Amino acid sequence: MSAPNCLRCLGRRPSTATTVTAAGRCAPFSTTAVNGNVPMRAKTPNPMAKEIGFRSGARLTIKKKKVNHNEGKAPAPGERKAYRKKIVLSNDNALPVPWLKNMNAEHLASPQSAGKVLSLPSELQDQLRASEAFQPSQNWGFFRKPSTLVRTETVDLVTRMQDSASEKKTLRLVVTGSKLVGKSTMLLQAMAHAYLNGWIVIHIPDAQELVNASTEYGRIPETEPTQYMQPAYALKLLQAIKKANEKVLAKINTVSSHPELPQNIPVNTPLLTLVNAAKEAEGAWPVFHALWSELTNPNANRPPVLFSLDGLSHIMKMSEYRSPSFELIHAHDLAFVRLFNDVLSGNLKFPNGGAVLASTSRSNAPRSPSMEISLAQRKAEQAGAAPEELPKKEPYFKGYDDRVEAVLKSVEVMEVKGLTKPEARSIMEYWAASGMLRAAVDERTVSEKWTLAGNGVLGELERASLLTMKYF
Amino acid sequence: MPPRLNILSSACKALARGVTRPVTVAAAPHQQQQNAFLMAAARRFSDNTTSPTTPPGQDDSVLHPSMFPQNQQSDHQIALSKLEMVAYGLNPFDVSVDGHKFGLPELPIPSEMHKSYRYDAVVNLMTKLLMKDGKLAKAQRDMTLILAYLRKASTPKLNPARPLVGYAPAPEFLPLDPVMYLRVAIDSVAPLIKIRHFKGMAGGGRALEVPAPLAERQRRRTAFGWILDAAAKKKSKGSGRTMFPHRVAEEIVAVVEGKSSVWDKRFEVHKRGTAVRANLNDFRLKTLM
Amino acid sequence: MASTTRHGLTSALRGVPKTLYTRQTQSLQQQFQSLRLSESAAVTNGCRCLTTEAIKAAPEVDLEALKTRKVHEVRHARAIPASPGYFSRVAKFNDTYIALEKLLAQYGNLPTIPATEVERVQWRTYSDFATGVGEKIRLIDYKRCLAIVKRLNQIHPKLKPAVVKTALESFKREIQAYKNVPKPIPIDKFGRALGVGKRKSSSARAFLVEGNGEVLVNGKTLAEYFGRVHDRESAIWALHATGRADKYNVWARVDGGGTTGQAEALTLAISKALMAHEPALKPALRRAGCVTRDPRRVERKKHGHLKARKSPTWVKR
Repeated sequence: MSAPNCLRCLGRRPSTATTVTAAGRCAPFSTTAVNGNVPMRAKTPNPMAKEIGFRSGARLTIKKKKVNHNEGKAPAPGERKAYRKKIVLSNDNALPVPWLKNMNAEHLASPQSAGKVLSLPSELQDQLRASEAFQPSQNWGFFRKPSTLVRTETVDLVTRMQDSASEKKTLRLVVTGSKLVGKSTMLLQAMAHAYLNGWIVIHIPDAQELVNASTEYGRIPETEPTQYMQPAYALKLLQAIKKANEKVLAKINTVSSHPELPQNIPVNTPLLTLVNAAKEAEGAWPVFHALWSELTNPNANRPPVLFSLDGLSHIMKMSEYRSPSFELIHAHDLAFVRLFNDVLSGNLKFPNGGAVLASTSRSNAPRSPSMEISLAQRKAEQAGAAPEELPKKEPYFKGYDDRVEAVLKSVEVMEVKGLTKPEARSIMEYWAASGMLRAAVDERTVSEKWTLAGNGVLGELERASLLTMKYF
Repeated sequence: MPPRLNILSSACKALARGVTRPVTVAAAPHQQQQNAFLMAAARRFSDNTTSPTTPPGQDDSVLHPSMFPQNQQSDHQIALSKLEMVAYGLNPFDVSVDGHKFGLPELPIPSEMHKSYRYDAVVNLMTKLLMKDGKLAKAQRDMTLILAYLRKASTPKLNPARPLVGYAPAPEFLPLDPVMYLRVAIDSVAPLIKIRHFKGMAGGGRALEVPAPLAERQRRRTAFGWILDAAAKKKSKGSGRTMFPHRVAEEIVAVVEGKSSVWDKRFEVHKRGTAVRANLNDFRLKTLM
Repeated sequence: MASTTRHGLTSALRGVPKTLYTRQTQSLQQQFQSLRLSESAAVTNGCRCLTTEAIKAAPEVDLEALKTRKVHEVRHARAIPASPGYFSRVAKFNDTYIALEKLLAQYGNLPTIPATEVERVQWRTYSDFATGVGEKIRLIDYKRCLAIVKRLNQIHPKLKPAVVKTALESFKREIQAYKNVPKPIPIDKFGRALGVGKRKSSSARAFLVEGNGEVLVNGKTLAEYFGRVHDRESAIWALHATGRADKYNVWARVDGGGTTGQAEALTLAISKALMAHEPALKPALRRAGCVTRDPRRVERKKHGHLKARKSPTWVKR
């Protein structure tokens, strides 16, 4: 008798194998899976066996009233974002505050102005606006003129900036603090001081834009490890730098020719011309690089430079860009981030002094455990803790990043805290004088709002006094 | 606009009031002390607990010292009482004696100091009307954004054809007081009447339309409902969570400036009310009213 | 009309004229002392009845002794109840009333204390008393009775006679709610007062200490813990309403429920702790809405409903 499978068929699986029953695939002592594996038969509608219960039967359907959105035409593309990002810096309804003084070059560094409200002169407003220091989430639009409260922390920061500039050193500092406490405003004040004192300011308003794969990128040839440039962002940044630092850039000249640029930039050309050389995104990165090399050239006499960045934790992690091998690119391999980190870590110094400031963000900020632990360690070191008392990394946590820790090895950390009550009173008096706070500013009101604002957190103070349904 | 549309109903009410006017009882002459006490006591026994009545044996003019309001004591008196306490061997700064450490607030404290009535009545009502699906927190945030918008919006240019309510301040003061801004806008477009429909009463299956006056709260409610309807039909300019409150706020500004379609609704209702005011005297209604 | 009847009846019972005290009646009364209304039985059974438990068999008549003492032989006797009120509609009540009136007449001149100073007593309700006595008392009568009771209760406690006290006892409710006094919140050696508050399903404990207006809720500041300004305001409303936001520090623990519940639980907790520090603030706090516990909870779901009240859509079949 011949075998049921011929020799030729032995290479294939026997046909019986394809029809293994459900029971065969299961442990013999369990029936649950077998029952569960019985293929579901499509339910045949049986009108006689209708269930009676509140989940069956005909339903009462209530038609929703249709709302007609036909009135007016829809906004053009980009208009919605422009509306959302619109920054209004003045309010004609607000009363002018007679005692308000314009900020000048010395104000922010003098301890006398601590606890005072100073308004930003219009030229400075334009500069700050050009470098996107104002944010749409801040409440500048309530008042006639943009004004800020000078805090003791501000004076402290600005004094340190001034000292480092006079000593031709680079201040490397990270601004931290809880939510809405005024970290970005602290950067704004530092920038205001820098602009008023003729510094060159490079500001990255939102670090997220660098890493979230929203602008185009490209490899920079002959770099090891490979770095990536972001030409569109470079163009945007160059234009912001040009607009904000126009006067300073016009005064200082190049010290070296830049043969890598297509344009002919001879020595002793104003830097403004160099910056103007970038007309399109295509050549923007080399121009930026040239500008950077001019600014950090040790042989030239340059004004101090302030390089600041908001949202530090975004650049302390993997970016969302992909390398040609489709691996995530570390944020530190992006050329902009690398420049910033070089200065922040102290590997690169501004020859004529300056400052590099970064501020953390507490809203829309990814977690960066290495950054958190490093900043905590730096803070403890500043408080005078011994090396063994520093906060330690969790031994079993794998998400740490050595590159981040290397950058933040020796930075200074400044924690912004809530306002003191006199400071709170000062800013509330300004609000009341502007007609935006309708309460009598006395000790009772001030301390009440101070408590409501979580011990004087400035943003919460605004929410509790300006963005509320009652104004008394 | 008819001057008084609720004549009939108010007349009915007045008649009803005239019939049941309360009869004032002359004060009873001084009776025996025992009987007076029994009467007085009987009046207060509904709670069945000892009520703080002045006992009959006591003279009414002699009040218990604790019944004097403490706020009326002068500093001199307070000092004297403290000295007395020292004389009696008490600690004059003992809280258990005085009951407070930092002075007492003046009673009655203002109504906005009550936890449940902290917001202005109009703001409170509008917030509740903004609310969807019971999300009060969102409605409150929307209301703060509306008020913030009103402060930042440019001074409204009034339309003389659409006059605002009498108490409205000059337009340049409105943005400084956004609650007033909101109240002015709502009270200005609030209709005075509504049209009631009596089914089939007009004959031939038609409804009989009768104007009826609205109370203040009803008027505000109607007006804000119209404003919300108008805002729902607008297109938002941007995106994000500020859009809905901004549309409502724009509509409020439009109302004050007299540009809003809400005004037409108000005039329509008033016109209709004037037209059907004769129905107030309809004989078929008399059985109902 | 009935009241006048009752009044006439009680006055008749009260002031039985001397003329009625004839020899015959007196002797009859003496002879039928054994026929009594059993008080305890009447009260417990809720009905009035003549009992015979007090009746003892008469001793054997010693005819000889009778002859020597020359006592008339009793041929016929009529049973007379112990209380003359037996023949009225509400005998027990009438007796009590009369007893109270006598007490008032006797001790009404004793010095009284102001009504505000009298210890608060919950008197028995009309229905409670009426069922206890087992008679159909009229409400107005009970009210008058209670008036006397309250007047007697006002007698200065040091001078109040024991008879009055015992007479009043039967009018007091068994459970006296006023005796249930909340424990006063102590202020500990660090100057803290601990208040406890609840709302919805949240509960909060707040330690209040004199300070400068710092608030920590579960280790976070007010702004960190409560995202809404409304909730923050609710939490410290007691301090806000009395102008003490900068006078005290709060350290609180909250758990359960959502943000609104937690915030309003804190309101109550802080206000209780504040009343421990400053008891005189209670009227102000009550007007600020910070004293009363809001008893509302989520309504339970019912069977046959989709939610607490929502019914399923009605379907014809």
